[in-house]
Amino acid sequence: MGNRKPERNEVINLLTDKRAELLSTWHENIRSIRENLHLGYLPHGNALPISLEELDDFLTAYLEDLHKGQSHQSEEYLLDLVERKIAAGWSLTFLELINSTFVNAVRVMVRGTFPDSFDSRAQYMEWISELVSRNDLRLAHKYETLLGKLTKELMERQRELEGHNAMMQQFFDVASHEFQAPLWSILGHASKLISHYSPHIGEKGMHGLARIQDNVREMHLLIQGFARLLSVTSFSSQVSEFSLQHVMRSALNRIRREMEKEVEVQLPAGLPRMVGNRQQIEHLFYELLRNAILFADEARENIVEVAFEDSEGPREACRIWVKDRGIGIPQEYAELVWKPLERLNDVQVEGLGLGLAYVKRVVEVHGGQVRIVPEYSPGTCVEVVLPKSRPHEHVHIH
Amino acid sequence: MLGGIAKNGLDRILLVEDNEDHIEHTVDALEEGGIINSITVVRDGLSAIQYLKHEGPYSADDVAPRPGLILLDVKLPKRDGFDVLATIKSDPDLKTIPVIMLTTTGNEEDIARGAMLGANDYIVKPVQFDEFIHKVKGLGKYWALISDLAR
Repeated sequence: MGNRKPERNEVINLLTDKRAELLSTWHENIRSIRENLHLGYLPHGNALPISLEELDDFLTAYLEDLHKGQSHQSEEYLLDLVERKIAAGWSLTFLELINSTFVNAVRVMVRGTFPDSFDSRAQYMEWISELVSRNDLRLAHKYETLLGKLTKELMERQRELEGHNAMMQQFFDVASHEFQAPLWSILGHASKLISHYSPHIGEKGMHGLARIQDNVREMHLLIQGFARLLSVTSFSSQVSEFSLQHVMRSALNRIRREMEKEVEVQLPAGLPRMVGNRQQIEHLFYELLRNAILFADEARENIVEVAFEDSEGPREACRIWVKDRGIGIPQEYAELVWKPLERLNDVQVEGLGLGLAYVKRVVEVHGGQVRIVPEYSPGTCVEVVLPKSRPHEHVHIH
Repeated sequence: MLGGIAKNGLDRILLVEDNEDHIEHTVDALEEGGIINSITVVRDGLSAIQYLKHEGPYSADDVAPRPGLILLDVKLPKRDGFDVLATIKSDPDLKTIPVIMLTTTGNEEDIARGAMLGANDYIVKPVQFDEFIHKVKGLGKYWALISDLAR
């Protein structure tokens, strides 16, 4: 821990740096909370009362004030601010961030003592107790209690959401079997009527039976799709290291076995290895490639192309594009397609509207991003960014 | 080919299934597949274990002849399919009988769990009913042969 009084500019620079750091941490926090919100059937409450943009505005305004030399460089001011925001129902995570980062920084100006960094919560607590020993009891105590309260509330919310998710998943595991069993009974009877009794049933009757089969199959796929979607709960389950090349190829092989449509699929060589849930990632590419093949237009070039860019860095990620030259997705639907059961009327492609919701869910759980590349033409280009290593736990105190 | 399986020594199939429609469909599929062996149906996991171990209602001689193949549903009353499977595969007298798991959902975890417990194969009750007949036919013949070789 350094103990010098820094220059005013240093502090402003420090805070400016912190701004970017905060934004990215906040982005991660939003993601982790969303992860627990699942499909959106859980109580939202005020889990996310502030967006990334709002946070940015707040930080920018704060920094501007500092530049202008305005008077809220006191601990009192920030602590009051934080308390006011709690009362207004602001996100606890957000407040914890302000608390841990900005209050520390402001202390530098006021007091001239500021640890270079905190490596751990333990070190942070040590710093607090040092304040206490300097008879700064009141502030230290206030700060500590506040942080404790925030953390506790956040943990409670997390637990509540996790409990909800587990219950929902358990219910669906049981329910999906109970839903499927009668469907199979119906299908069996319909099939037997068709194969053994067609002369008695007549053409109209046979048509009815065929429609029964189609509808039962659709129901079956819906239940299967939901069971699959709900099974993606968290990153922690069944994680291993595997080759994206292998995963992509076996996804494609599965599609080849199931579909008759002749489409040329160009897979690149040299896709990297990654750490994640292999089964989920394979099904993710199964859905994306299958969609691309369905979209591929025979009237145009009947080609699906996969490309990638592998980057090295502190948080290594692989960027993969799945491109088709079909009719494309209108820009106004680019966000909508990721929602479960959202079937777009004027996009004529078969499907139940659960495939892309699954893709998004898996990508999010793995700490990545997925989007429809805007202005791509002709056709559709889906971009998937997947971290190659396991997303790490954050320590909110810097 | 008809009747060939029975001659091979696979004279009995034990079907463990609780859903009456599914019993009917499976038995029909076996018949359509040309598997004309006698089929015994038990409707819960406990009965399956009692049948195989000659316990309870099956303790008298000749009431429960040893099957050459077991078709075992995953979801069963009293003791579930995995429980029955584990019991069979940990019993030195029973573990050589091939067991084919039947699953409604095709849930990958269920299939993996079955394989780990020693299931010899599985059939997903599929959306295409003809496919089921086809599979039952193929698997029945294959396992009948294996079972015969194991004797």
